This record gives sequence, structure tokens and C-alpha cells, in this order.
Amino acid sequence: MTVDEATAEKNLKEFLEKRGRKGFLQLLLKNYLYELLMYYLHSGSSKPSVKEDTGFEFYVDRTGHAYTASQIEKFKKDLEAECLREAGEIIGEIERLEIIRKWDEGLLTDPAVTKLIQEAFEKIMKSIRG
Amino acid sequence: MGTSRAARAPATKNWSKVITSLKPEHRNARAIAGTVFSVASTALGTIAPWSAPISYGASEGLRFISNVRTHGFQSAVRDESIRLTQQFVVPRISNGLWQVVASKMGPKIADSPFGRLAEYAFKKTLNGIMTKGLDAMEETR
Repeated sequence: MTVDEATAEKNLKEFLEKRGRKGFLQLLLKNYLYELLMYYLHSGSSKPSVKEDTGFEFYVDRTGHAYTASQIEKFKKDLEAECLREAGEIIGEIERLEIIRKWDEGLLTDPAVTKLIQEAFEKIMKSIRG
Repeated sequence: MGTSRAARAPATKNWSKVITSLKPEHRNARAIAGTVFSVASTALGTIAPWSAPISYGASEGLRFISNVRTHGFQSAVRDESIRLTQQFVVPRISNGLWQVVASKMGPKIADSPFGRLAEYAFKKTLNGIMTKGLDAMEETR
């Protein structure tokens, strides 16, 4: 879809008005988690510890038949929704640290924001997932 | 099959849990996501800066949208030294912003596999917001 400058501006402002920076961060993190997930779910085997690969299991069932396109699409949508939920948990940690508020008030510089977001990301992934 | 950008599985026996979770009888999105993130974060925690590239992207993205709010869209774009033409407005902006992100994190992180994934996620996010507005968020719900 081709979008001109005026439409891009309108869409961005509309998104910010309704979803704010929190919405931007959640969408960004969701997209990244989904990419990570798909990256690893298409892993090849790592011999000798793993004999099978996830890239095969993702598309082929136990009878050796490929899942249908709609089954795979539904599975991907479910995974994406799960990533959105996970991203929401990370955003909760970012809110708890008041990163966005402090930044708005000029209490944090860009590198400090980067560091805090990274810490929040790792903390959640380790504490909840670990 | 479908592995053109395949990662190597992390060198941990726990990876078999991920493979098991993909079997038809266990195929549940929440369980799979939890298992993958758990195993991957444990295996990669000390190896790769997997949270670094997206953190740089988030920081830069926040800065850009803050500038849009404060100074307006055109000014925010101009401040990033992004030259717009009639065509490809949205990808030019997201690509230009990623160049800034990449320059801040350096090539070691930007060119890593996680840097590439973060780049795709960053551009997808901005492209989605600028082309679809609110629907960029709604479409995964």
C-alpha cells in the first residue's frame, strides 16, 4: 500500500493519540518477540544433543503430512497473540520503572532509556520465563 | 523445510522440550512461546546481546514519536536527516530511523542475527503504524 506523507502523519498521530508511547513500545516488543520465536521455531538440529529440528515439526504432523495452510496461519496468529501478551508484561515492568515518565521530564537521556529498557526486557524474560 | 533463515538450536538438551511442544498433542501457542523463551533466554543469557538491539530501537522510536508530538511530523523527519520524495514515504522514514539506531549500537550488534530481527521488527512496527494507524495494533488481537 502506497501512503503519502499526509496520510503517514495522520496515521501516526492517530495511533499516538489513542495508544500513546506505551502502545508503540508494546507493538515493537510484540513484533520482536514474534521474530525471535519464529527464528527459533525454524531452528535446525544441533547435533548430537538434538536429533530433530523445529523447522520440520512446525509444518509436519506425526503422520508425515504437512499441516494445511489455514492451520499454519492460525497457529502463527495464536503465537503472535501470545507475543502481544508477553510484550504487555515487559511494558508493565517498564511502567513500574517509570521510564517513560522520567524521560518525559528530562530525567533520563537516550542511552539511559536504552539501558533501562534492556534491563526490563532481560528481567522479565528471566524471572517469568526462567 | 522452511528453514531458509534457520538458526542453530541452542546447544542445550532442554531444546528437546521445544520440539516436544510442537507435537500435535502439545501444540499450544502459550506453552510453546513460554518454552522457547525460557530455553532460549537461559541458553543465550550470557552469550548474545539479544535484548540490546530492540532496546536501542525502542529508545530511538520513543525519541522520534516524542519529536512528532512536540515539533510536528515534518520537523521530526527533517531532524533525522531523512529526505522524503513522493514515493516510498513510509519505508524511507523507517529505514532512515533504523540507520540512526544502527549507528548508535554499532555494527557488532546491528549486524548480529538479533540485530537483523530487531531491524525487521522495528521497520514492521513503524511501517504498520504509518500505513494502518490504529489497525496496526488491532490486527493481532
